[in-house]
Amino acid sequence: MSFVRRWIVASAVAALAPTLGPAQAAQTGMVQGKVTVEGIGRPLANAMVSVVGTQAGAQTNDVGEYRITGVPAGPRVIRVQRIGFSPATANVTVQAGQTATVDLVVKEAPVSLEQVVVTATGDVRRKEITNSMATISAEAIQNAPVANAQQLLAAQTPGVTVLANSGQPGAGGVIRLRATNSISQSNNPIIYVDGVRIYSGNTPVAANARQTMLPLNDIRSEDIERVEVVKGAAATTLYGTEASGGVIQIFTKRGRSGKPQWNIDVTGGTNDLDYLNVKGDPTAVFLKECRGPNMYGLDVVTTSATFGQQVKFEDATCPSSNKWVKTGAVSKYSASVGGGSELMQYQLAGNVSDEAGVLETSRYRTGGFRGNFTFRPTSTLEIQLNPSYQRGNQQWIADGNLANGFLLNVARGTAGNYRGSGCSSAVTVCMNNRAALDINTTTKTDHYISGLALNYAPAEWWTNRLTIGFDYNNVENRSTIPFGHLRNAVGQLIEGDWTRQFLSVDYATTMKKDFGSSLTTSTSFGGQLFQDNLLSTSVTADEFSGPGAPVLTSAARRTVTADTRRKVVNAGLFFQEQIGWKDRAFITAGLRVDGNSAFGQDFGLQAYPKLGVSYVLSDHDFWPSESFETFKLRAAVGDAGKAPGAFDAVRTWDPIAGDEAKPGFSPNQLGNTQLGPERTREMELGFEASAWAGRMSMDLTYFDTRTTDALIQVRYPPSQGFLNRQLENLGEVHNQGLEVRTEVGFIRRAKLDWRGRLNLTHTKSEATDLGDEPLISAGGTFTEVRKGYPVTSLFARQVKNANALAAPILSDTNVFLGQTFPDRVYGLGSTLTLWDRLTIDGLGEFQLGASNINAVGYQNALRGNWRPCFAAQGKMVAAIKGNTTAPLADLTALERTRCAVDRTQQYFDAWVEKADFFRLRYVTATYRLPSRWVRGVQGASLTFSGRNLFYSSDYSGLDPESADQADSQVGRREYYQLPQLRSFQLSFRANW
Amino acid sequence: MTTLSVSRRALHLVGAALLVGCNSLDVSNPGPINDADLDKASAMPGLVTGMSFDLSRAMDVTAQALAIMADELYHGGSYTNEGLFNRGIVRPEDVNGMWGDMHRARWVAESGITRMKAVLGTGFDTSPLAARANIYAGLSNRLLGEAVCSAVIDGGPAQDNKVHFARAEASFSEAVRIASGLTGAIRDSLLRVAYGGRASVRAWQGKWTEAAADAALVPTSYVFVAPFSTNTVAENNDLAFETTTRSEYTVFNTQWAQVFRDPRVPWDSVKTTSGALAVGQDGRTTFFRQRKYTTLAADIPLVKGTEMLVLRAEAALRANDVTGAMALINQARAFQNTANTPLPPLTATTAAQAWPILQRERGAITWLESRRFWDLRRWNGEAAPIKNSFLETRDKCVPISLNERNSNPNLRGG
Repeated sequence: MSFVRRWIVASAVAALAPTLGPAQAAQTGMVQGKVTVEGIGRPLANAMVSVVGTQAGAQTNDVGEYRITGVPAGPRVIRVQRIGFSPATANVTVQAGQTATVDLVVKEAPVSLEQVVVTATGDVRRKEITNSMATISAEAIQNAPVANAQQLLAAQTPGVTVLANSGQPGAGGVIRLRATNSISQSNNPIIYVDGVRIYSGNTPVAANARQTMLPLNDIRSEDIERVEVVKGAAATTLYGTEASGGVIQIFTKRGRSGKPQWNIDVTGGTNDLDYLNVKGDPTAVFLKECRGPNMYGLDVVTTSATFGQQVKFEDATCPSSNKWVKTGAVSKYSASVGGGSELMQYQLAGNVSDEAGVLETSRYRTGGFRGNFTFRPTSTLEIQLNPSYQRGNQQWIADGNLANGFLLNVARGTAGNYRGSGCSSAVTVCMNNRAALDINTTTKTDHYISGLALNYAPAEWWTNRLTIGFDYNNVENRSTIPFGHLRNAVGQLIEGDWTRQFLSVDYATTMKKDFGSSLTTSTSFGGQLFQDNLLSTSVTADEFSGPGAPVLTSAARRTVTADTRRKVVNAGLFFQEQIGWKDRAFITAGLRVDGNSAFGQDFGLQAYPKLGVSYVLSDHDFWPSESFETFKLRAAVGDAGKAPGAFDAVRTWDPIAGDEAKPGFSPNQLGNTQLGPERTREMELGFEASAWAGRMSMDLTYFDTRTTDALIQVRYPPSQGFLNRQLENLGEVHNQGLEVRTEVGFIRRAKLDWRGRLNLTHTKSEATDLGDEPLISAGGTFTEVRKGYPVTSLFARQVKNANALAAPILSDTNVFLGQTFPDRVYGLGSTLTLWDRLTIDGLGEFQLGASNINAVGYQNALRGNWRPCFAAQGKMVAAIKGNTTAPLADLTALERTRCAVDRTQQYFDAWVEKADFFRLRYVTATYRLPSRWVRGVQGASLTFSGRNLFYSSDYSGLDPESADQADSQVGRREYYQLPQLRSFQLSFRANW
Repeated sequence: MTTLSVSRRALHLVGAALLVGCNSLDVSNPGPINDADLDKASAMPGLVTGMSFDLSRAMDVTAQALAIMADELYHGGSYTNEGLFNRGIVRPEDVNGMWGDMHRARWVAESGITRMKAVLGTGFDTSPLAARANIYAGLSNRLLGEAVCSAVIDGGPAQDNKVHFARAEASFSEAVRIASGLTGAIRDSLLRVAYGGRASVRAWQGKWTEAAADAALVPTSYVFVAPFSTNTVAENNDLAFETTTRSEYTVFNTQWAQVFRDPRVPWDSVKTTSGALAVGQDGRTTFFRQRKYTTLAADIPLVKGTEMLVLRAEAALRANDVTGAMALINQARAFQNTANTPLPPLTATTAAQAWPILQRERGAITWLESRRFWDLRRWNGEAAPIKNSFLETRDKCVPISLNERNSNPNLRGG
């Protein structure tokens, strides 16, 4: 039996072994009560109430009430905690068989310095943290109508940029923490789920879909307790060589001892694209109309007899609704139960969802389960076992830059590739675009995560944590062009099997010592071993014998296009010392030492140091804490790294077949035995403050990040034979930024509560050194890294007199036209609560400073099918025909370039555009149902939510966020991707 | 298989600390082949196969791009670079791929010969593989010399493009030397391609008498090809894909669209299921489909006897032997004459009449074989009646690619 199987079986057995019902202690009582917010008397829901020193606890219901059973008799301390509030405690003596009532009052504390967060060394109070760390709470997660973890992160906290690539349900996106630090390597953050490192990249690109999925999205939002985001190298030093892109820690919900707590969530809704508005085009590139008088393009062939005239067309396969887009149905169901005894606690959860897109064959179905188990065999040992499994089935439409793609062909109107039959004789152009939907492309995913964590605390001053994690992703991409297809009569099947396994072992120990009233120390050390296994095989099969559902062996020709079996190991040790003074000032110094199999053979170990200080000024007596209750200053500097790709150091040749299928060799990679990791050093300054009893809070961070020895793909002269670039440690990237999170409680009364929040992110990125390389082509169209410009940027020829009413003048060379990713992101949110029963929450986001390439406009315009160009093209046609009464005088140089009918005047470069936008990410209205309406439950609510309800941008394409995932992770261009969908959902949630 | 044991100090230290299995520390990346593993006699056949493979890949690219530049095909698609080539604009930034592929083919062959000499020792002089390697070195240099404006060798400075012809001639001569020592059918086959290749590069250096002598040693029916296959995607002839599955290039709007039923220039028109004339990938240009390469496995000729006939005819014309030239031209036509696609003899009595015929016939014989661009270029540089004006206002050669300019220290700033 393979190691993987043994692991899966062992985890499953362990997961199912414990008895789920609570064991009743012989001498126990019950504690119940109500938690309210100080000053306004509002009941506090979703707060965790626990009995200190035991595992007994419960969560408050929607009216703030709790009930804890099985509390050992005797004097006890009851503690209540919730993110955003100061913890509160109360003493009570529990009598066996009796019920004690303890009501608790908590203070609002948007900046709660006593809150415990998780770091590489273990649990630490927020006041001791010397760097910025954002926490997204369960409350925020529950309110947001998010379909996945990626949407959950969008606009919730500063410094996090999330870009969706496509509107297809289930499609992945790009997540960046702060700016792009690495020119050549992945900028994905490291992601941990309950201490287990999971794969943070995207799945392989699905052929004929050109999109990917994000395994992070397999962590269901309803299972998440909180998310902690650690953004920069100053904070991620102890995570080592892979951590310069930041760290995201996800913690899932855990059960507490006591009676089983059940939760259900039933959601129904819709997806649509009715909001889509292409300026000047009522058909929205024929998506919203595919039959009728608007079905025409312009003949822009100068030599044609009908040059300049309308070309009518029909699509014989247009649906009876006369439009391609439809309303897709959404249904989601999830349930969980948590509880347990002093010895063992459990949380079991399951989910299933089915989300239809707006095209007939677009659909994403997923389902899975999670079991979180905690055992406490002794008072000093805690064992956690966290298995989860999620399966997904994505049905793609042919998306993006594909000759057989759906949107590409529909949008091109008269110039699509699916010319067919069945139209009336009134037109000469007859389309059969439905054939694009006959291409069946699916991605099936299996994602299994299992973690075993041992927390051993032999003394109050000494804690140990050992975590063994296993993350298993299996993806099957399969795309079938059926036999008899309009564009490929003999058919094709492309199949890719991809398995990515992460095995991680983490150990950390911390020893604390209190030297008296003023001085404390905390000494930590530990290590990590991380193994990354990749198995990937792709096969293309062409030419089926006949119709029917094909398999690979149905085809006459079968080609293995890729086979990768790679194993990489990273290992590291860390040491950290923290010195505290009067529990208000903390100095932390640490060091991480790493080895990595991707380093060149001449390369040794890598050491990453860190140093930080935090100072809680508000703990001083002189501080006006009555009105300005919390103020913490912090500063940190630290290094993190990014390893080169596996085996980049070695000179290799590719095995090939040539000369009529004989085996041979062709140059692959030049190799560099001096290769090492790039290093990112970050300096971070900031403060966290709250005032006026939490009515206003602010978390501000300034960072300055410099990546040295940056790994750059250096090109050697092609005349020397090796065409692939070779990684070298040459460059330098400098990023600076400001992140601000502000929350304001405008009105805080029991019956009316109105709050606002602003997340602001400003970044400035610059490649400060590229060695001798004048530029690095980053993979996408016009996408380059050049010294003195943001990483990455778009360089193309510029219409220098864009707005002049004159003939266009183009720059002679490619010049800077904009950066790829936004440099300013503003998230604006507000929450209004009426009578403590109805809550309306909204979140909007501005993303500014980025540019995108509107390839849809370019390709359609040169084919006479970009309606916003029709007026300009009509004038240019008239001018070419010699009609002097319709001069070009009122056309700008940019219009003349973009809408040119003369092929020599058409330039793709002119379609690089600013992609600034505002999007109303979501609005929700949650009504807490009166208990008499739903008898037998602790709390129930109805939530109506809408996502992507409003969008505003001057960008002329369909969606400024769109990107062709097949092109590049750092390059973006809109090339016939389906825009993001609008969705409405109605959810019913109940707990008991 | 590549297996590394690096940074073991750290790996072992941490591994011991964490008490995990030792097998977790092994790292591997099977597939790529270490460079040192090629220094074995057993690797030589694979090395030479690689030379053939890389030359075919280069031909795959040039057969499309040079055809567009040379009016063999017209661009009716959506590829940006090819659209510019069609307009006679050939910029350094648009030829990175083509430049790299051509140079890889040359470098693999020339450096491979050096490696073979070191590995085989005296056996090199009697190895058919060594002769083949020299043939690939010669053909890849010929391809470069015919396409590029300037020669750049192994990261060196820019030189006259005819440097490639000189290197090709030396390689073909070496192939002739080695092959002459062999016996049997392989000797004849290797000698024919070596003579045919040398004939052309000698002609391009003005050595027309020696060129004609070499050309005469190649039988009319002889063809040596760059092999293509459906075995793997990398072995595909993509011109077939671009003009059948996709409609990126069309015969429409080229001089060959006026040539009908010539077996050397086969093309047809395509109609959609509704009966309309098909258009190209750009949705607007009439699509005439080339039928010379109809499958992904269609080979591209590199040396063939019919080309040798017209090369000899050109040598004759340059020697003012119109009658002799026309006889050779008609000999080539007769070879491909069939009842359904007749190629009747052509007549010319003056050089002024004969040169257009020769240029057209040579174009038909080498259609879509990456040769026409050079012919147009060299004829453009001559006086009447040889002069051909097609490239008059167009870029006449492939410039040094931007990648080469940016990465080659000998070219930076130039």
